[in-house]
Amino acid sequence: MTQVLYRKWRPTTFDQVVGQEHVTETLLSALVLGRVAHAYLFAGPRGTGKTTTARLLAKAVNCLEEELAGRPCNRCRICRAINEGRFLDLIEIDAASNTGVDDVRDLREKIGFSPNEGRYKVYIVDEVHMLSTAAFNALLKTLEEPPRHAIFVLATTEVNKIPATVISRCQRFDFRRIPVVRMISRLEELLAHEGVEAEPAALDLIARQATGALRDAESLLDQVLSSQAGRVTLQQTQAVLGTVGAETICELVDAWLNADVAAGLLTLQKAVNSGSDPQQLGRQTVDYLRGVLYLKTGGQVPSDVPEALESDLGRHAELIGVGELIRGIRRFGAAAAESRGGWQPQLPLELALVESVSERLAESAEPAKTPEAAAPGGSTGEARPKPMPSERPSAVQQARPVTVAQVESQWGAFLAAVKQRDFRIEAMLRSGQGVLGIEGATVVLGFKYALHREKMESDEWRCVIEDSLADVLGTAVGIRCAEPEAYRPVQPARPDEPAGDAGALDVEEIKRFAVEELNAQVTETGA
Amino acid sequence: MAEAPRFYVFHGENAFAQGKTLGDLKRRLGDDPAMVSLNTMAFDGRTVSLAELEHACCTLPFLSNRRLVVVRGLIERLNEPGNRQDRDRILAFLPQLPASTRLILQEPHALPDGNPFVRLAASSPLGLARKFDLPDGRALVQWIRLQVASQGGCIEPDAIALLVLGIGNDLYLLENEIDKLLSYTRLTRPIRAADIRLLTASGVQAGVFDLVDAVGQRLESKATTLLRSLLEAGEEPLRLSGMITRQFRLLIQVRERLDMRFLPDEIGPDLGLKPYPTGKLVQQASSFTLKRLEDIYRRLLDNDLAIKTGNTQPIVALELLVVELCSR
Repeated sequence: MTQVLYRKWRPTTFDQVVGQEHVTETLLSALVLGRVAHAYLFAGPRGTGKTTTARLLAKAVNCLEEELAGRPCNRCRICRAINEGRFLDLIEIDAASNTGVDDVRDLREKIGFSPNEGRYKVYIVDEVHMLSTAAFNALLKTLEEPPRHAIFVLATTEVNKIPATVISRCQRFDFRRIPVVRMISRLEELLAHEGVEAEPAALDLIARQATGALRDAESLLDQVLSSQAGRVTLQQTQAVLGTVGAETICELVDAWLNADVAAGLLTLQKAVNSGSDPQQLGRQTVDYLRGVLYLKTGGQVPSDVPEALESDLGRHAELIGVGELIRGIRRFGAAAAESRGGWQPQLPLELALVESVSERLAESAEPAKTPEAAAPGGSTGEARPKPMPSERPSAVQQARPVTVAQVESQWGAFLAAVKQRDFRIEAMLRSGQGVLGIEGATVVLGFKYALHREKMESDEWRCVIEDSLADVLGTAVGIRCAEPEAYRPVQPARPDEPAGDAGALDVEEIKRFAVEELNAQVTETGA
Repeated sequence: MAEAPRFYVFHGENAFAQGKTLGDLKRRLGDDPAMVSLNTMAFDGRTVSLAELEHACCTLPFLSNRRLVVVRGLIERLNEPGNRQDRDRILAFLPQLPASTRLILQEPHALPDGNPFVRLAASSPLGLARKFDLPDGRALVQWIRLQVASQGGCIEPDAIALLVLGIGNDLYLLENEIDKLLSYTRLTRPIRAADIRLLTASGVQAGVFDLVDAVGQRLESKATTLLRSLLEAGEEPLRLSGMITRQFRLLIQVRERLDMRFLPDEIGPDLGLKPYPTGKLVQQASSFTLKRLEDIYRRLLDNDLAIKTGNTQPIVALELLVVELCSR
C-alpha cells in the first residue's frame, strides 16, 4: 500500500522540522544542557508539526547516541524502534476518544512503573483540549508531581480550552503557521525525493491553499500527484483544487472597478464553466482584495503575495478608496461563505459583483455624498470610512458668506442632517454652545471643553459637519471651534459687509423660516 | 538545641512557594523516592475524617525516622460554624504529635493572625506558622531576577517588564517560561525582550498591547503591520480577537475611572489589576476618549457576531476591524 507523503517523509530529526526553529532549537538546547522539563504543552494550528516534534522529543530523550547534540541519531535500537512504531515507552493517547476521568486514572496507575526499554516513558496526549474537567483535574495531580522517569507532551489546536492550572504546570511552545516560501521549499524537497518535476506556480498555489499548515500542503500535493502522473503543472493543480488563475481574479476586480457588470459576470461564468469552485473563487477574490487593503493601508505588499501580482495590486489600490474596499471584501467574503450549497452556487458571487458595481456607480454619480450614506445597509454597523479630503471640494474655496441668523435658523435641519451621517457628532453638537459667530465663510462653533473642540475639528468630524452645513445652507462653509467665554469676533460687523448686514438679513431669514418651516403667511411688509 | 517543629501551618495565595517548601520537607525524608512515597500521606482536608487523620499522624515511619502527613483545606473546614468541637479536638491533638511525625496543614488563602491554628503554631515550640504571599511590583521583579540567576542566567529589564505584563504573578508559569528562555539562550547571553516576544505567550500579549496603542493613535500602517505579524506568527484570529476585546474592556474601565478623577494609584486596586499593567493601561487610555472606546467596543461586538455567524472569515474580520478602527 502506498503511504501518503506526509507520513512517508515525516521529519526524523529536529532540523527537518520546517518553520518551527524557535521550538526545535530550544528543545535541542534543553537536551544538551540537561534541562528537559517533565511536561510540555505544544499549541498551534493543525499540520504545523506538534505531534512530529513530540515524537522527535521522545526519540531524543531516549536515544543512545553519546553526542547529545546528535540526538536523535535514527541509528540506535531505540530510534529505530520509535521510527518503526514498536517502542513500548512511547505512549500516544488520543484525548479526543479518551476524554473521561477513568482514562486519566488508568494512565496514573501505569505511570508509576519504570520504563521498559528507554530512560523515559513519554506520554503524548494529542488533542488534549478534548479532556473533560474531571479528567483535567486528575491529570493536574500527575503533572504537579510526576515520577522522574515520565515526560508528558500535551498537544492541542485549542489552547484556550485548557485550564490555566494545567497550562502553568507545562512548558509551553506555540507552533506557528508556516510561511509560503518555506512550504514551497519543503514541497520541492519532497518532489525531489519522489523524482517528480513541478512548475513553481503550481507549488506556490498549493502552498497558499494550505494556509500555513504543511500537512495540508503535503496532502494537496498528494492529491495532485495521484490525479496525473509526470510533471506537476499549474493547470492540473488548478483543476484538482478548483481554483482559478490570478488573471481571472484581476479581471473580476477590473470589471468591478471599471463598473463593467457584463465583463465581471462573464469572467465568473467562464471560471465556473471551466470547473472552478465558486467558494474557492470567492476566497481567492477576498485574499486578493486583502492584498490591496494591506497595500493601501500599510503601504507595502504583503510578503505572501506573489511578485507577479504586485503591479496589479498597486494599480487596483490606486483605483479604490478604503471604505469601498472594505465593503467589497465583506460582500465577497459573505458570498464565499454562502456559496457552499444551493442550486446556483455562483449566484452569491454574481450578486456581490453587481452590488459592488452599483455602489461604485452611485458614488461616482454623487461625489459629495458620504460613502456610508451610499452603501446599502450602511447603518447596520458596516464600515464608516472617513471621507477622504481629496474626495470632497474645498469648502472655503466654494463658499459665499453666510450670517449667524442664517445658520441658527437652519440649526434644526443641520442637526438632523448631521445625525443622519453620524449620531455621535449630533450628540456632541447638542452639548455645545451653538454658533458663536461667522468669520467670512467659516462658521465658529462654541464648545466649552478643549477635548470637544479637538474632536470637532478632527478631519473626520469636520468633514461631516461641513457637508451637513453645505446641505442645509446651500453653500459650502468651513467650521472652526472656539471657547465661548474667550471668543471675540475676528472682524467686527460693518454696515457695508454682508456679514454685518445682520439686521436686514435677519428679518428676511425670519420671514423665510416662518413661511417655509412654520407654514406662516406674510400679510404685510414694511420698509 | 531547640526541637524541630512537628506541625506546620502554611497559608496564603502563593501556592508555588508553599509547594517548594513542602518539597524541601519531603527531601529531608530521604533520597529514595519510593521510601519518601511510603512515608508520605496526603489528605483532602474537606473530606478526611478526624480519626483517619489522627491515625495517620500516630503511625510510625517505615524504615525511616520521619513521616510526613499533608492535609489541604482542613483549617477552612474546621473554621466553619458548627465545627467548633472538631476544631478544639485537633487543636488539642497537635501538641501531642509523635516526634517522628511532621504534619503540614496547607491553606490556599491567607489566615488572620487571630486564627487559633495560626496562634497555636506561632506560640507552641512544636509549631511553625508561615504565610506565603504572592510577590507583586518590585518584589515580583526581584523574584524573576533571582529565579533566573539561580540557574546561572541573567535577564534584561525590558524582558522582565514583558514577563510581568504578560504573565503577572503566576509563579508556576513564570518558572516554566524562564526555564524555556534559559534553554533557548543556552545560558550564553541575557534573556532579551525579543526572546520573550518570540517564545512566550506574553510576547503575544505585548503585541496586542502595541496594536491597541497603534489603533489609539490611528497609525493605520503600523496597526495593520502589527496585526499581520501576529497572524503570521500563528496566533489564532479568534484568540487574538478575544485579547483585543479584553484590552479595550480594560481601557474602558480605566478611562471611566480617570474621568471620575480617580488617581492612577487608586485604579489598580479598584479593578483588581496589578500595578505594572495598570500603569501601562492608564498611559494607553490617554489616547482615547470614553466615547471613542464605547464606539470601538460596539464595533468589536459586530465583529464577533460576523465571525461567529460565519459571515466573515476570522482573519478577514480582524483585518477589516483594525483598518476601520484606525479610520473612524
